[in-house]
Amino acid sequence: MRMEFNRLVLVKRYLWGSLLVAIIPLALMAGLYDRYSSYLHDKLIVERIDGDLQTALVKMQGFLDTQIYHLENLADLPEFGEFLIRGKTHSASPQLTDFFYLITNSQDIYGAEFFDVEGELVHSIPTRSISTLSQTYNQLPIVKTKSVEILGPIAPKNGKPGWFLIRKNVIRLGEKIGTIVLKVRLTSLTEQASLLYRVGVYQPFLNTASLNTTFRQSFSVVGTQEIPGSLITTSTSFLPGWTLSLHSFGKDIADPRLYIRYLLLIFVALSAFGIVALFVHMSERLAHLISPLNEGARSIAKGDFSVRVSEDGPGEIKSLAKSFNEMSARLNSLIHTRVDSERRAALGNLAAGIAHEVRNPLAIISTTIHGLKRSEKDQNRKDMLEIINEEIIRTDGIVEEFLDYARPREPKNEATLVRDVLNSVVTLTSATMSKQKVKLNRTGDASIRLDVDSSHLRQVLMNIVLNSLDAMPDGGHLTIRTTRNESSGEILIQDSGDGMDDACLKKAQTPFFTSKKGGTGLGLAICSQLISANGGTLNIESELGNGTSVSLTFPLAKSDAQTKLTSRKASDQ
Amino acid sequence: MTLQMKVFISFLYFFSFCFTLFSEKAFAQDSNQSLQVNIGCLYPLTGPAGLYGRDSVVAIKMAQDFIKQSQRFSNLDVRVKIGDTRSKSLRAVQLTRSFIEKDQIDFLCGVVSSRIALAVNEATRKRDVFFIGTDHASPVIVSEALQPYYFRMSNGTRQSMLAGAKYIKTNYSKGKRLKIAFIGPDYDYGYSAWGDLRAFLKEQKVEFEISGEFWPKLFEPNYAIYIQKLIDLKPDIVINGHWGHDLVTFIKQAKNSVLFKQSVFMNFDAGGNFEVLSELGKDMPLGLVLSARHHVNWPPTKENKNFVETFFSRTGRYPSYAAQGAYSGIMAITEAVKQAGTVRDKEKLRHVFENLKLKLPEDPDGFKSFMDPHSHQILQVQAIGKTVANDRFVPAKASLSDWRIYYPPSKWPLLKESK
Repeated sequence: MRMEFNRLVLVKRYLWGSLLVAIIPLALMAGLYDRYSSYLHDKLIVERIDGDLQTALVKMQGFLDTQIYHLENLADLPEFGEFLIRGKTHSASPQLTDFFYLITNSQDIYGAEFFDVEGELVHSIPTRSISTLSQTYNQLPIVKTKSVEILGPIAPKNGKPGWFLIRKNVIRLGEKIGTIVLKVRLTSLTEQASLLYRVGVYQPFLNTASLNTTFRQSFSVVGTQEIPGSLITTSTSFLPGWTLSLHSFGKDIADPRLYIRYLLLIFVALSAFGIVALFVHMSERLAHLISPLNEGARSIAKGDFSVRVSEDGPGEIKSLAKSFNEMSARLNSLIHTRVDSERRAALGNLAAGIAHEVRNPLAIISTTIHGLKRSEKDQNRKDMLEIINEEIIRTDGIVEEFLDYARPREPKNEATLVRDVLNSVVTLTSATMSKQKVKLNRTGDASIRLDVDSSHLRQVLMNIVLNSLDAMPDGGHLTIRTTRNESSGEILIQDSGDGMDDACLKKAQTPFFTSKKGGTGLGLAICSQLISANGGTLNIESELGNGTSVSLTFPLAKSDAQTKLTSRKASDQ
Repeated sequence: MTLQMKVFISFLYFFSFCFTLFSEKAFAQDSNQSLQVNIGCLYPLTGPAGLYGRDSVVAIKMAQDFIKQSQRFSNLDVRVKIGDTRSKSLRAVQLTRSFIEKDQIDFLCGVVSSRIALAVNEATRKRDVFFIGTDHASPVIVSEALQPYYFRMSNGTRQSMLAGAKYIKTNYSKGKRLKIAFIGPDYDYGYSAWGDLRAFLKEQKVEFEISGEFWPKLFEPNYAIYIQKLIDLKPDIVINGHWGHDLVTFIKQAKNSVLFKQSVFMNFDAGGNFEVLSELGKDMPLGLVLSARHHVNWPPTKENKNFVETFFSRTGRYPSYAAQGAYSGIMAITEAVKQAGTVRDKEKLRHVFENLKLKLPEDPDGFKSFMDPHSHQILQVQAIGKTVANDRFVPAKASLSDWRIYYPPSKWPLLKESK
């Protein structure tokens, strides 16, 4: 257990070590990248907003300066001064009218109005723009800048857009001779800040206030009056009380950045989680693959050499499992061979002793019995002596069997025709078959010749057939099938008897194990020994209630094997 | 009777005979002489609205050719001079002065923009020259800024907005308080269109509230922020007051947004102009509610088909509504001069104009355009349709269909706000 723990810990150590090597740089890189991008983003955003705000301010100031410049050009025109002084009784000359149109031709200007020194309207462009509001101009918010006054702005209402006025006094020889008022499109001013508009993020607002009123207004980039969202930043005044501010749409300005940041962090966390999960899975799998090997080694250590591990693992694990199984099989074989040899040696010595100590007295007893029988007149006593003699013969047979097992005779291999051996076995057992009403069925190719000791084969077949007949005391079917294979011949003996359970089947070839009354338990053990000595194999399959099937395989005699090879070549051609 | 007396009487007879003969000859010579009609037309031939002017020039030539071939106008020699305003008020006013003072024109006609038309109107007011407006549509010029010699020969925004209000009442105002937003060009035409529609919606008792009003500049190249503002407001209906290239630009920029899916888009005055359908091509969304002063596929009369096909055979393209407007202007002037028999008697001509009734290509069967004597506004049928896929009039890939037809009232409608 300790060993397994250590092994698994070693596997996990390697895996966790690799995991740390993967995760730590990932976390460090993610952290550094996050801090760097955050810093960079903040810097860029702030600098960009500040830059854009300043640009928008400059554009707005430039727009106002342009309008003021036009106004001053008109005010300084000598002919215009004369026009104002003459009053509304005189119309403007075509040249002056053209100049008026030139100034108001821009879409940024709704119109122009000209007042004399008394405040009476002298002329307007276009004529229709003569405003009823002119009487209330002084009630509008007013701020002064340079040589002009800015009046308004007036928010959009009644289906008309917003506007503001730029008013300038016309001075000649130090005296005011009249006033010019330009009606300017409000949106033309607000849209100068359109570069600050970011859909769903932030938008600029023009905020206006004046000294003569407490009225404050905010206008969107398209000139509509709106209530701004959360303030992000505001500019300095570009006119007294007029500022440009930046407001969010209700969401944090950093939302998009945070979103990406969180997304990256989630991605890193998921990557780390994925790596951990992968490593844990690999660790579990490796432990799972190594664990059977560990278990197998422990079983071998406990003396169970029959243990086998699964060879389904991948790569080196599969190779390791194969090697382990080979090692286990060889160890098992080695141990069994060794034990068997030692057991046989012991049995051999025992058998020799028994043969010497039992058979000699038995021979004396048998000789004595024969003498007694000849001199005995009483029939009953004669019968009794005969029984004693038979028992002595039976005991001698047992000892013979025991000796055969302990000291088997070396096989003398020769080409043995299976048919002859089978005929002899069937002849010897036919009386029993007939008595027990067992039907024999011989099939297959009995003409094959096996490279075996014929007496061994006969002994083996006799033993197995007799076992089968013993399993069918009340009749049944006995099938003997002979099959020729590539380099071997197979003899299958199948009965329809009672069969064996698994426990019996496992011990069937163990010496001295028997399920028959009066059996020695050496029959199959000797068969197995003889088969093995003749280079064959024995395979027994049995199921309780469904009979037993015994398969014997021996190498074909050389002549038969050559015949088979020649006939196959011929058929291939 | 003395011989001297007889000689004197014979001389008198002879003199009388000769005088009579000479007078008859002289009269006969006068009556056979053709009456020259000098017209100066103002159109933008270059710039964003240049197509309107170019189409108008072709239609004017078509009208002149028709007049030359017509027996009815055989004694009239209609001469037309064209001036390119370049969509500038100052240039239009200068051209007006030149036409009147240098070229001695009898009639001024044309002008696409209402803003320029007002400036030209002021220039003609002082000189008592007839100004026959053809394409500008603001009601101001036929109401508070009306001058005695101004007449307009195409439907104005007031008529199209009256039809539009009826359309909304019939098709969209069913027990629901509508949220309506407006976007239109920032000048008199836009203000008038929106003001008229609101007034007519109230008159029609349509329950509505105004979600927002936006006034981009004429010829604005970027409507992105305006489109976003409209999307944010989520109105049921977006009324658009743009025309020409502005409308094309707006639709192109809004096409990929949710605006047309979210709200019903309507333009009753110039949206259905063939120029718009043609320039948008496959970019024209389907299901938009549009109208115009003339359509290439309505009315399906012989006169309209003939007008459209003749225009096509001359130019290889189909006419915008400006073409039909210019054609109507020249035909109206010719008809008025024919009926008055003079170009000098301004009062007689004004009287004829005030009672003018004539068949024009855009009139459906059984209807003739007629002048409202009070407003000097011609009254014509307004047809409103929806865009559907149709490549009959290439390069347009859509045309108007599912028409709703609105005949004009007997008098040009006055509104309380404009009175």
